[in-house]
Amino acid sequence: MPEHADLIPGTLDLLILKAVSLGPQHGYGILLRIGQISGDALNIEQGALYPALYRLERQDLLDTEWGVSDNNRRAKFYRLTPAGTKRLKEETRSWNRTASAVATALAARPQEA
Amino acid sequence: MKPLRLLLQGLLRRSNMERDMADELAAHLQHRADDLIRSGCSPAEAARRARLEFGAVEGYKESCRQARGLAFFDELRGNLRFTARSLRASPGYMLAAVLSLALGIGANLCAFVSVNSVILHPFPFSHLDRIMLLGEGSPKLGADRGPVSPANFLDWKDNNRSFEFLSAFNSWDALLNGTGEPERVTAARVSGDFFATLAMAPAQGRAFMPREFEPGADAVVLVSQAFQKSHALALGRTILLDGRAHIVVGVMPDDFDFPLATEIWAPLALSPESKARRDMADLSVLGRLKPEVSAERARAEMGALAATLAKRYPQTNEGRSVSIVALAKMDEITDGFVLIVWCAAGFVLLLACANIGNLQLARFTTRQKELGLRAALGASHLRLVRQLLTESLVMSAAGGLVGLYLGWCELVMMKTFIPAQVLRWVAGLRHLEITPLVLAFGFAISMASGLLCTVPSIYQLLRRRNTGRLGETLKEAGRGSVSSRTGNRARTILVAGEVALALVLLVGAGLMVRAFQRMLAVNAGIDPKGVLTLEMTPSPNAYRDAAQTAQFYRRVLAEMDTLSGVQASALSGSAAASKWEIEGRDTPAPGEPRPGALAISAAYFQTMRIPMMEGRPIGDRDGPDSPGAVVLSEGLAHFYWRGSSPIGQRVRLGGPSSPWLRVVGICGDVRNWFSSEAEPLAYVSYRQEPPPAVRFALRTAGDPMLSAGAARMAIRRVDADQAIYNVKSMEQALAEETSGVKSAATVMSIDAGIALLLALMGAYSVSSFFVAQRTQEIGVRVALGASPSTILRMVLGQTARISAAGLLAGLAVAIAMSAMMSRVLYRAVALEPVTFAALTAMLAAAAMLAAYVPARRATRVDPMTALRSE
Repeated sequence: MPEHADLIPGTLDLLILKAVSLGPQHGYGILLRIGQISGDALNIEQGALYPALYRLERQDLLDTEWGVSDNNRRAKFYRLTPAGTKRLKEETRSWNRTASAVATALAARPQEA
Repeated sequence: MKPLRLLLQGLLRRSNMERDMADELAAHLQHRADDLIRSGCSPAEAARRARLEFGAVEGYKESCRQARGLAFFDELRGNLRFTARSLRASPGYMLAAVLSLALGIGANLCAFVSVNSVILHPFPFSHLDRIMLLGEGSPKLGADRGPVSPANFLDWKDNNRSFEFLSAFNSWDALLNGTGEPERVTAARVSGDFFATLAMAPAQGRAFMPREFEPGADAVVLVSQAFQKSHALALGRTILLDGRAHIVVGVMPDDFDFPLATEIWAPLALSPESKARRDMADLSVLGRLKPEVSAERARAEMGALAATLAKRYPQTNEGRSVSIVALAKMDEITDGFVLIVWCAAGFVLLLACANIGNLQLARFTTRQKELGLRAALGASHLRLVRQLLTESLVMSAAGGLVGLYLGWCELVMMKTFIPAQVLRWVAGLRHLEITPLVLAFGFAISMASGLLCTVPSIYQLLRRRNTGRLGETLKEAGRGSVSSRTGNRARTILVAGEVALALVLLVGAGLMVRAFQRMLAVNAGIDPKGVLTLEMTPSPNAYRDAAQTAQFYRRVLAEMDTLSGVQASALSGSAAASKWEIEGRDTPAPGEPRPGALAISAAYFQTMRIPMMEGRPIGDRDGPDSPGAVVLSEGLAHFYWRGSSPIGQRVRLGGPSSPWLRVVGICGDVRNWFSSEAEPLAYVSYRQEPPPAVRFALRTAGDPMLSAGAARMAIRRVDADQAIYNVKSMEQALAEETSGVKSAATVMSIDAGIALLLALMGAYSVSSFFVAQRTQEIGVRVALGASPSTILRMVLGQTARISAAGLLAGLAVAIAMSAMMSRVLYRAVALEPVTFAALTAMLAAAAMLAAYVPARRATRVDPMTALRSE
């Protein structure tokens, strides 16, 4: 079992947008996909996904539609709206900037005199 | 908008959304279980583990609902349910609050209907704010809004750049024949741009054509819709006006009523001679400003124009100025009355709010336990505030609805009391209706007063939070006695405010009633009781010169004298009085009184019961061939002759060509009904100066209206083709004239009554609360030997202190208000100190009386029970 990292607050929305950007998916599928693309390294409580999905839908970043899953079961599918696509791009850029800044900062070594 | 759509879906199809959410979460669990089964779990175990991994389903559902923005509405629903329950539990409070609110809101709605119709929308014209009335002023004559001469009007029209349209009109009392009984109609002759200025057009038929403004081609008329209906006129019909046939070419829309009460409009066709006249001003001028021009700029431009004209035509235009007044602001006196009544209604509503605020504070105190409990269970303070607000708003919504009904009743009642005559002459009064704007106003004040009522309670609540005592209130309320100082102070201030407002309203109503009484006062100089008046304007076609007209009047008077039951009959009519000059003296300076002239018959003073002070009245001997005679009113004579007698002196009421009149007598002053000031008057003989229009007056023994038919017949016997109008008793005429003040006085008296009642409620509630709160203390005092009278003094003393503070504050506002009312009532109105003191004392006594009931209760406190009540 891989070691789980706790989610940094605010990143769940970004991960959902990313997962959905790869193709329309239902809630459970989104969860699986996040696990898949993050190498199962992140710890997400299953139920916590839904309030986030409802919030994103309300912000007009996601669209929903009922459909049939691979398991042949009825499920609600989420898809990115144009606004969602745009937001994902922005958020990704800003995340990368922050991450590289933090990485650079952490890579600093004491200067030798 | 998607978020809005989602919210609406969530709200309106709540069950759909819930099902959707449940389905989605179930699908998630199934998918997870499927996966677990595939990895080797038993179905039952898989379902169990899927649920376990998911977490608290209901908790996440709640989070989802919040994410949708539904939480607010869920809470609202809860609050409303709770409100309904708690209000049902205290119906007395609910009833008192809703009723006081409804009274205040009803009074305000009714007052606002008047404001809306009379001040905001007196006319239905689309550019009302830009429509101006122009007048010519002559500072020398002390007049600033006079009529305009045709030549000046035409020069203004051609040379101004401020007005989009400039038009002229004058009124015309026309004699209508050929449609049944002869009748006098209110007509107006209007210039070419008149209807364009007002942006109005006929509802049927056509407007006037340019060529119809030429003399000879002008025998066409437009009629009002009411006139068309009452006379069953078809377009193209011919009617006889002043003996000349006019064709009806169109009908104006029903809401078009300008100049006020006009029934017929005809073209103003100026002959070349009259177009050149500057010495005869008989036009009213109406203009519509260009959109970008302010009234100020127009005033500057027209002022400069008047100066140019004065230089060019010094003889006629010297010193003439131009006045520009917005049409909507013409009737300042009526506006003032309407605003005063509105103000009074506003005060009533404020009082109602203070009263409810007080009731709520009392409730708040008894509810401390409940609120404390809710706070202890984790309700945030904002949530408690929202609960209080919900209760208040539910109450004010109910109050608003009942108030709407009360206001409507008041409006219906008010409308039946407005005499038809007044309805015709006050712009907008015809349209007293509940419009969407009135409803919006009602909604706004309901909500605002609901919020206002809650302010004291919320203040209390937040204060407790800040001092960290809300949780403690649970314990406190359990002990049930410790009083909160701030609560008491708030209640005290509220009740003092109520007393102050009540005093202001009582004084206001008192002033208005006093003004009304003054207007009805018998010392008007005449005795209106038993006098019948009829008016008529003999047609100039039938009576071509002064001698014929005078002869006609003479014959009518002779007929009237033969009527049984008539003690005296006379006529009067305005006579020309363009100047005022006393032989051998300089012309009077501006500001000195200049009399109006009244042409009268011999028995006029006797009929009106105007006393003769000196000399003789105008008599039968003052005929056309005898020397001119004049009787002056006392005030006028006193002003110019001081101690000495003017009898035998000669005066002139016109220019150099008019005859000198010898003063033969001095009569008592007649006072203006509105201002109650003596009017300077010069009475001349109708046979020397026959007026074009007259009013016959008959003094009868009994009810004057019983003689109306006979009086009409008397005139008919002389000439059956003349219109007789305004047949009424003088008392009725006076009642019509004073009806506005009367209705203001009535409404304000009702307001004051409501105010008194509310203030009493306030005084009673604060005092009984005081007693309830201090039962223990009173018990201790009684146990230690305090006599009942000491206890009584203690409780009443508190009310006395509060009332005194309120009365003092009210006094200051009342004084400011009487100054404002004096302005509107034209002359200072003041209450005699005795009345003022009586009102104050009455209010104070009433407050004490209200406090007496709980105070009595306090004296009967049994010390043992009180002490054990801990």
